[in-house]
Amino acid sequence: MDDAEFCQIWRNFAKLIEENREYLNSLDAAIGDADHGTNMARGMAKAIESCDGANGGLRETSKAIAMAMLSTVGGASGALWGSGLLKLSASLPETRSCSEREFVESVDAFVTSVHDRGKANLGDKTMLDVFLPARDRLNAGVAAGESLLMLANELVGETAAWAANTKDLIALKGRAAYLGERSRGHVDPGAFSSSLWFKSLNQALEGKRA
Amino acid sequence: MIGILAVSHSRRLASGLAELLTVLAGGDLVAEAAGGVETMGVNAAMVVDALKIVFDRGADGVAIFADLGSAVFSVESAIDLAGLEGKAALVDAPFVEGAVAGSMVAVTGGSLAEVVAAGEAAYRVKKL
Repeated sequence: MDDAEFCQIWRNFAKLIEENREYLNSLDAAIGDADHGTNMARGMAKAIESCDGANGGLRETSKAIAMAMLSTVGGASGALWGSGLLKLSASLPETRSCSEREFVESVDAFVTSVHDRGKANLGDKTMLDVFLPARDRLNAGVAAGESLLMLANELVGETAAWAANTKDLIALKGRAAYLGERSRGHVDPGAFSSSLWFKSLNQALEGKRA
Repeated sequence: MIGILAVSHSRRLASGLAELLTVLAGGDLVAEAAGGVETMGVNAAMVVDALKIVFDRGADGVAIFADLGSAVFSVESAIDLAGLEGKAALVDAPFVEGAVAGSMVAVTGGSLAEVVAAGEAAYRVKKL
């Protein structure tokens, strides 16, 4: 993966978040404070600015994206995405391209960070209901010699389904957890936006723009 | 002396707590507030900026008290970002009671570990 492809993931993600901004806000309104779409859209708009000016290699570019998230996105999503991306950045090489294995290792570092910081587990109705199984699929696929494109292609549908499945769950983390049984019946906004990231990855690998 | 940082989604809640601490613990206490700058909410950059102010005011270390979930994540990210592990610590404590307990220990010359322990112990103090 080269830096142009890497940045294209984030441009696609910014566009998909923007297109889904009101939907994400409405999901958040059901069990949170109705700002997940607005927050993520603001952060991603800032993040892709860092991509536009970037020519310093994958580590530097991804670090700039992380800092943009940490300084512009409030709430749990800003801190979790931002600190996770700092770990992703540290795992990537300083060069302008990396192998598919290195990219998958950096996603693994991201997920581990989000898991450590947010302390949520599978089934807690959070972004990790998408990222934990997706990470496992990526790690297993790359170990088996499958191509990242094929894996990303498969994960578009899988992650959309995992996000949709959060609808039936009771929230165990964040403010939605105070709602208990009443948090059931709504898709988790963080899980839904996370599924959009896999769509963005697939689009970038296919060489298409969102 | 150990300084205190109150972090809340609401600027007024954080500032109000910092003000209360200064009154209860005495004028020597270094207490600052972070969060809720333009809109409700906290990000790591706000916490990094506020930590700098507490250190600039002469604190040897900072005990941080946060209100809810994402404020907690933002504080943890800020400590990482600023490389302040060992010099600044997030206290697992009730926001008001923990910060008051920690401030009393801070103003009487307690170490960062002692301030943290006092804040954590506040969970066990019942009101009734």
